[in-house]
Amino acid sequence: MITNLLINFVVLILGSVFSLLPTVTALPMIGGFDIDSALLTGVGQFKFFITVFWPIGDMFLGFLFLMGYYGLKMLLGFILGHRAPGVK
Amino acid sequence: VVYPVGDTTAFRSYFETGGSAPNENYGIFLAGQSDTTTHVIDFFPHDTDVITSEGTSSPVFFSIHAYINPGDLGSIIGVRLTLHNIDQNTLLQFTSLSGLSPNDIYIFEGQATTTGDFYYSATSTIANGNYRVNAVLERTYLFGFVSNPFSSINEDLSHQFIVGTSTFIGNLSQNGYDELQTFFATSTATSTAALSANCNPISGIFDIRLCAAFLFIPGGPQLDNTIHSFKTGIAQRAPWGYVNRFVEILSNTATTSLPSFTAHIPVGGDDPTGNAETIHFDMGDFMTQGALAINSVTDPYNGMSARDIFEPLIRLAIALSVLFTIAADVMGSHRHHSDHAPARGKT
Repeated sequence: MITNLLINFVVLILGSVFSLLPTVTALPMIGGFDIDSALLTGVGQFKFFITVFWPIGDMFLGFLFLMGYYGLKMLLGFILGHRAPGVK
Repeated sequence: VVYPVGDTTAFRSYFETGGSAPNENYGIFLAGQSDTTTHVIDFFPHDTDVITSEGTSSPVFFSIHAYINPGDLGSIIGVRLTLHNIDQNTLLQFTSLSGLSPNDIYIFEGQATTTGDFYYSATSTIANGNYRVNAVLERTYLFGFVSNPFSSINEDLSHQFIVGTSTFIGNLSQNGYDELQTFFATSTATSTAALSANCNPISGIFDIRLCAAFLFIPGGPQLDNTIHSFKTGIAQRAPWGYVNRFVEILSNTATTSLPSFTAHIPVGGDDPTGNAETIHFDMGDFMTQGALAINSVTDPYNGMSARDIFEPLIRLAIALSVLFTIAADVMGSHRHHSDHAPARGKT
């Protein structure tokens, strides 16, 4: 109960602070172009595509894994600055 | 399907010579199970099992039952059942004192080469103490030496059991989560108010362990509500809500069919009212049917399709290239010498 209370309290405070901001349910339209629908359709079609051309799915997973590594490296560099491993 | 849980000797004798079935604990599972993904169905001993001691050591029945989906047999499925004594300090295994601590005992290590149900069982005599048994299913290559980190078939489950009486150090090694689960399981309270009575010294059901668990362990449903509140109240707010929405779209598992179109081709001149042939182009259908046609061709010896044969090799190549890219980056082996040269004027 105490842990729940603390977590709820933090969420409540943050929620009330940010309640003034608008809620995002879809990506915006830019110049009459619906990015949200386009992305939903595009990603859906890509997922259909990789069910047939399965090596693309594996390559995509490998790419995501690699991006995760670079992301982690950037995060370490951001937090540790020049103390991060590999930075002169 | 019914199978014996305890010592198999009597059951084997009954199976071979007939007569009446011996008094024994039996396990049962439904052969027509609905879950057809490659997974571990069950393995013995079960979690928290206590094997009755027969002196300083006792026979223990080990078994693993897994289901191998036909679609997953394109590569080898590695199956492993290992036993580890958790009375010992596992850190000692990595020091020069490793002789003091037993290593994992491989009850079974092999490969599932056929689809459907996979069974292995054996009875081994082991010394009294606390043990952990691990059941692992993984997609392996190169005769089981390499496993695929990207594969969806990477299952690692464990049960902890006791032979004879438990030991102090072994109990310390037991998973804390199991302990807490036990605390909760002893409570019959069905409401928060009733549960809070565990903290009341004059309630008659005062229990310091249940009280501490009640106070400090966040309840699952409440935590779900909080996470939901966090998502709707904070994560979905602009401007970071756009990032949240982008991630939502990317993680959506639904597929969308590819566009199709129909062409009307007039036949017999330019008269628009004349006869027309209609051709319907459905790219999604082309691809699906094409893939089915290619996959229907199998090699005559193993019955494997092109995908079955090449998928493990392609995955291995991708995994290795990712690994080498990261290794090259970590070691800096592809950096030019000029990158390390001191800046001009600062020699």
